[in-house]
Amino acid sequence: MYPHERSLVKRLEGKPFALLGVNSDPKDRLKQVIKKETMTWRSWWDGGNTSGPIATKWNVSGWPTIYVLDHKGVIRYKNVREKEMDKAVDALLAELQRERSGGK
Amino acid sequence: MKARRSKRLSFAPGRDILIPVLILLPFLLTTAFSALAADDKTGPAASTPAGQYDALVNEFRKAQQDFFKASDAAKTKEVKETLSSSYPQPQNYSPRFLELARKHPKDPVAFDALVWVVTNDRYGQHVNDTLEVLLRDHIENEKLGQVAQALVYSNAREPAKTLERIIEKNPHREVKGTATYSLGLVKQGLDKNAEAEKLFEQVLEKFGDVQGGFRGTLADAARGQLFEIRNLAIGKVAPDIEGEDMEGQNFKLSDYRGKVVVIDFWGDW
Repeated sequence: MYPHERSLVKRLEGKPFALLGVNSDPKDRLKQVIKKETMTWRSWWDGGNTSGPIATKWNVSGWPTIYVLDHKGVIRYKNVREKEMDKAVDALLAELQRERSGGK
Repeated sequence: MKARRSKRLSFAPGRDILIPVLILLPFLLTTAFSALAADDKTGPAASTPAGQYDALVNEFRKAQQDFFKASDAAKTKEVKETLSSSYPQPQNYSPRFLELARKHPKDPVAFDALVWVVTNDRYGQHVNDTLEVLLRDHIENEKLGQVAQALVYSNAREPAKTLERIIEKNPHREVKGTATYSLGLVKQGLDKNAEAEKLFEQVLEKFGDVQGGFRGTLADAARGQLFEIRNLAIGKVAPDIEGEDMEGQNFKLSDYRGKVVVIDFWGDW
């Protein structure tokens, strides 16, 4: 998980992309992991356990749970991992670029 | 069982060997050919079907505990990986639970033994046969809710049909509620969201106070599923997230509008 996410974030540096975490660990643990795994992306700290307000609202009952959103905030993919996540993100970035360059 | 048999043999080499062996012979034969029946006469713990059930459950639990102890103690990844093949598989225990249920069909322990197989070995080869017996002999049991729950993620052939039958025939509110909620989950898993919504609505109306689901009552669970269907499906605009990072800095999902975003619910475990 971590190595793949690290390389995804690195590869897309400077692109209109963000990886955001919602973390269910106690705060000390979260700080340690972020340091140890050199995570450059941000995470919401969700109260220290799996029944935090964000996970509860989003009805999460398995970890990890993944959502991929396009630039309009629309949910486009769920629970894609590793290569599938790369593909999903690349497709949405291409879509965004097409839209920005004003054509199809 | 092994230990008990050897214990009985241990008084064979007495002073006069011949007599004990002759006296023992019928015993040895019954032990060999009808081990469980003979066991009924020995240890007090194993003298009842319930005692035998407890012994089986404990044996499985202990095997699991021993496995996790060994796994924790393993120092290298290689040792851990080799160990992982020795994980005590529930499928190796199911035949003994089923045998117990077959021997004592009238005893309450038969139900418990069948439920053990359906809940612990839910992806195993015995699930469907066991379900058949449960539905035939125990459809009105007040503890059938755990079976309804197990059906959602299992190898059951027709989980929806089975759940519908439980809802129709079981007289207990808790069981009906759990089965209705479980049926909603099954439908949702099949992308039949309209049907799932109806079932979750029913849970809210009729069974909201029943305990169950991932976080408390069936009402909480059903509300969560309804929110997911209505707001978190592919094609919906994601609800905003607002909260603090580990330094206490507030930030929002909507700050990232205009960017492609991956949201990862994670924990370091």
